[in-house]
Amino acid sequence: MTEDTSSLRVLVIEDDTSIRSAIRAAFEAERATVFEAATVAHGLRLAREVRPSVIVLDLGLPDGTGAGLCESLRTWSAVPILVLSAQHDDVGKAALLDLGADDYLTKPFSTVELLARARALVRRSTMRPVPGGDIPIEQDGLFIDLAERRVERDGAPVHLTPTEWALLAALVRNAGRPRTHAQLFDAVWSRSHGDAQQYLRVYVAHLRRKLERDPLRPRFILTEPGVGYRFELRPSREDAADG
Amino acid sequence: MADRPVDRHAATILTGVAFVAVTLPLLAFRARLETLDVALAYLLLVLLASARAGGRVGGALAVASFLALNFFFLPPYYTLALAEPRNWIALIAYLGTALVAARLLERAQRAARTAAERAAEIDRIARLGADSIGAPRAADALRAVESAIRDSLCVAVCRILPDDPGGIDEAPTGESAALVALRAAVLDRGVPGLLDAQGITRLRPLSQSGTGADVEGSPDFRCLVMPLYIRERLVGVVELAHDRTMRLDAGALRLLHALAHYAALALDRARLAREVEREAAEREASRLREMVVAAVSHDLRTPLTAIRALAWQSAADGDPRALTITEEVDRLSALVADLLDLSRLRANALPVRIEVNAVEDALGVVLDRAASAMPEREVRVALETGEPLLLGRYDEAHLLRVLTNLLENGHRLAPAGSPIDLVARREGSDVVLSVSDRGPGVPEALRGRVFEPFVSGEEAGSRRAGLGLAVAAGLAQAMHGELRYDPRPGGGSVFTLRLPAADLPPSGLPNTATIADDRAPTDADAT
Repeated sequence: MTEDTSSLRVLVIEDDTSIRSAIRAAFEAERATVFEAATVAHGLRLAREVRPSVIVLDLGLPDGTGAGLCESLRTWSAVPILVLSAQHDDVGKAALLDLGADDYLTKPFSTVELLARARALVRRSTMRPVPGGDIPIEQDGLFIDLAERRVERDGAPVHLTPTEWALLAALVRNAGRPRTHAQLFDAVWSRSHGDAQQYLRVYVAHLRRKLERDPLRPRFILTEPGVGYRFELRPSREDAADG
Repeated sequence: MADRPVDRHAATILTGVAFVAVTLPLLAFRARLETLDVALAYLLLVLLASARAGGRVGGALAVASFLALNFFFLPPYYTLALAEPRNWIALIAYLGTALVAARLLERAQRAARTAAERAAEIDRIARLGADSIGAPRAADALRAVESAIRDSLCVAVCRILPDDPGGIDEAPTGESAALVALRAAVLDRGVPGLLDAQGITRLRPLSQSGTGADVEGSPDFRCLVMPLYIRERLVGVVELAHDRTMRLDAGALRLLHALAHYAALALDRARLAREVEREAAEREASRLREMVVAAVSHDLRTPLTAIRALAWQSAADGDPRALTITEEVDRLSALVADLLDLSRLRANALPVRIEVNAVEDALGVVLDRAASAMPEREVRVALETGEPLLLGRYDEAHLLRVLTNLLENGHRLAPAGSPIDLVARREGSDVVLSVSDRGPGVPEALRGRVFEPFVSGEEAGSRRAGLGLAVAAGLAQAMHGELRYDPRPGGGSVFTLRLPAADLPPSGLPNTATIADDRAPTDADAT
């Protein structure tokens, strides 16, 4: 890959030795510096000492929960956190995303995917805001300019209602990162609207019909099953081996 | 008064003897006695006789002594005529007194006897109550009540049975068909029944004494079956059987009803004891199962994760065999997950989060995964993308699992080049999703068992164990839906999943509260 990861500092908090060493091997092959911790306490201490550029955090730690660690970290740090979760643990994943984790990977995962996601997180966090607003997005026939409130599909302008804009903005500002249903709902509607499950689904469907070539095979607004949605900005899907 | 006829005969004979024994000396001393003395002596005798030999003997003695008084002790002697007519008044007065006294005495005696019997009854019942409550096991309490009823009512056999026959330790064997039918009829109708002397079954309510004395007892019977109630709930029956035809008098019936209460309580106690045992066993089994599941889950998955990560590393370094390792690891992981989930599904212990979801969300993910997992397979999807949006109530992750398993199943068996069709539509209050393939289909003999574990795998000769369909069916059920198999017309299989649909609220959707049309979007989302 073209990304220079030699300055990448990765903190891996995982209690299983073999997984930890596999992750270490993957990052060190990209010339990143890897720090390891096996417990929440040690992880927090290392995070303070070492100031990593990304943290890879396992959900099942012996001396506490990843949730506790996220909460603590987020009081003083915005470091990107990538969670390693077990299969079928949607509740855990969503909870951690709500607490400040940025993305997740389901075990068993491929190290290629791990590297790709970690790089994406670091890239986002080191991006400096462009004067005048975020750079417009243009990909695969879709053009989105949040600052100008303009959307075009294949050159033709697309009209979005205010609600649809708010939802699209919430997704695009966090492109590449999964957003939970709760986060998206809070961003667009106030909480006083009671049982909102179906509203979010419906507006996402509306957005897909307006922006995607095939709403049943979405390219940009992807479903994170059991968790929420994600706006995908990667140029192609060829490096994603498992979904 | 003596209870038994023998005693009563003896008392009667004794009375006769006493009568003679009293009359003779009175006769001898007739000159020195007043009529009053003789009358009083006889009256005493009448009272004694009534007490000992009963009212009838006392009455007879009253008449006999009346005649004796006239014949032996009032002039003219040895005739039934009276010299002084005013003696008739005295005589008749005497007779009346004696008869009334005899009658009163008998009644008092009888009342005293009844009271003593009642006291004995109450004492027996109280003791039985103490026994059945204090019995260490519920079965012992039942036995105590059975033997109390047997002894008190003098029947050969007494049995107390619960209304579900599986509930008692020893099932009675070798019973007559008539008794079995009678028991079933009583349990069904909730009314007492009996087998009479001719062997005919009759169902009729048995009278029960109220506060006053009642005359009715039971009819004659060989077997009597009475239903037992606790607060109007039928809990079982008490059965009496005797080698000869017998009947229960009012007192015995009253006793039976009273003891039946204890029988009902003992039955209920046995049922509660069984429930407690079963719940404790279930809790223990559940605890053990979760322990095993957690341990297996962690201990199996962790090395699998490590192996996969390392294998990917090798694959990236160029080792072609490593790719195979990852595929095998994935297969193993899926099997482990399926096994654990199947075990949880069987125990209704798998967490399920039912929410309102858009079906197309799940379809998009399934298609995406299929595109990478089985890129050579054409998956055609049909879903109306117009309004209204197809919404359902289900657990999204579980639905994905079901659809993925169905797709994999179809892919495994269908010939290369044939498509798999995925159709989603609304039918009434259901969302219906169907996955069809053009494979060999399921042979007719297996169609009823296609959702059982390990069924389809061995038949198709495939290496993959047939758990996918079992898990899919279990997940469908856990989401209050159903999964069914049908042969596809033209060859192949159609698996149809039915789930509850959801509808948009009729009032329409709310618009965002924070953004106006002509302003730039605010930072409404927290990053």
